[in-house]
Amino acid sequence: MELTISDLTKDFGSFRAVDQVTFTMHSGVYGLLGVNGAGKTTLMRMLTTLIRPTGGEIRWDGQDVFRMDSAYRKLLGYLPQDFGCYPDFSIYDYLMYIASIKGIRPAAAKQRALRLLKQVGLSQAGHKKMKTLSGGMKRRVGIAQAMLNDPKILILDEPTAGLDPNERIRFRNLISELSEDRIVLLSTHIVSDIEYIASEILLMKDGRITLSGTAEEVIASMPERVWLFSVPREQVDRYLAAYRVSNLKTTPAGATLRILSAECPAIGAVETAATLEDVFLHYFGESAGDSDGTV
Amino acid sequence: MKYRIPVEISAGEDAIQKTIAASKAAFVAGEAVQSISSAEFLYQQSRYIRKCWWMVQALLLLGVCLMLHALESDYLVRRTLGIAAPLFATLILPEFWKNRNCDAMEVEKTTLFSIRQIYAARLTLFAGMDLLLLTAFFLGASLLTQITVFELMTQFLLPFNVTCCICFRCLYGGRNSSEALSILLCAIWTGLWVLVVLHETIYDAISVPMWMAFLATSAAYLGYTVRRGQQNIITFLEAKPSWN
Repeated sequence: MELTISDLTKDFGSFRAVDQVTFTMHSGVYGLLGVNGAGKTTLMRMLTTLIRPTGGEIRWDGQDVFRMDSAYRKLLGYLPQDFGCYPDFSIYDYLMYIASIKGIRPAAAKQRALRLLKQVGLSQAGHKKMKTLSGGMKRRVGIAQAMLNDPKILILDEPTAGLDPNERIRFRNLISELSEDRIVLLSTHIVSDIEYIASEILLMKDGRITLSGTAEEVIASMPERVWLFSVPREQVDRYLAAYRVSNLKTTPAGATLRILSAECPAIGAVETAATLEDVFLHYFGESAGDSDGTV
Repeated sequence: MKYRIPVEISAGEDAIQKTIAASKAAFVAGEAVQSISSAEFLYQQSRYIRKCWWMVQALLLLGVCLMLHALESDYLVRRTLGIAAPLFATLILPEFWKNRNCDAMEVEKTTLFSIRQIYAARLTLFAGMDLLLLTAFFLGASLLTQITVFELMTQFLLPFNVTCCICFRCLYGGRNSSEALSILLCAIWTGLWVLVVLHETIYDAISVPMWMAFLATSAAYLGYTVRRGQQNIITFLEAKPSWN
């Protein structure tokens, strides 16, 4: 089981969305982390054969996926960022419809749909119309439809977008549960989504994979150190302007800052262990200040 | 001398249930490794088409048939047919647009049966049903009224073909086209068509071979539009500029 991406490039006119991306995936969860506009969705769309690359290739066990055509799509489960479904269908009918276009015979489809509904915690809601579902429930239906054909490659584009913290945790656990003996590629700009479940993290910026490795490796690669210290309120702005601040907690006396810096930023600052959020801030710092760079 | 000893055999309910469960499991396991055939796919697709549109189409044709029976003037017959044909064609639009209107294509393009095959199945089903409905309509109209099959073909089938061409051009026309645009274009076409058929001098100037040529051209162009659209539908999502 090997999915190889070599020099994958995609141009939209003069804009290069994905720029010579190369990596190999085996069984496990892969977290694709990057700010909005980094090229994650384009990369995933190419992996699902939705769009053709301008250059490079994608191979599954040595075979070109675009040549494999339906044989490759048979191995694929995909949850897009904007998961559209038929509002008048019930959840069960929707899953049976998707099963039919995945070529699953009705008897097997019924069994799988019921099992997946149970797995995603919707066994009591199978009769509900899709239009009545909350964002979290809809996402769970999304993962169920992606899993219907027991895919070897599961591609989830921003699966936790719009979910509340409880749903996000439930979703994370579910993905972890489903990751056995398959490749799961999960894109997100929310660090906590992949921090605990990804066996490998791929950091994507401006269409390129800038860094990859386990969470520990990625954290260890950061040249800056992380410091914690308290400052009076009037000094907060000065530190915000001078350093990358990964956290600011207001206290009655002023604020406690978590700062990324190669050198000790202030007397009394205590060095602390870096997290993936700090790494995100380090690599995507210039975008972390805006709303897209939510960590 | 040997005698038969009667033995009472009682069925073990548990064993029967186990056998049933094992049989079901074996059946499902067998089904799980096989994919559905193209014919089964077509049948499955028919289950997910909203039948109400076929009902509305049938009711429309029935209404037209009864109207034609009641109408005496050629003028009104032409006008009725000229309006009914585009209306009949546009009733297929909701089912063809639902993938795009519901943003469902992205998932459907990554499944074993591609979006091209899904559309092909819907086209086949609608074409089959419409053929049945139109055959019944033509038969009914020929029996109930004085209208000839030739008139029905030129007055109904020709505008129907052109409307279908407009609908499919819009459907396969990339992300800038919409269902509303196709309805608008169909309405404009209906207006133009009614103007032509109600204008006696224009109508009478068109000879029978010309009508037949128009009909053949419209049918050929409809075939071309569908074929080209089916080929291009794969590239439809390419134009969607999302690169997050």
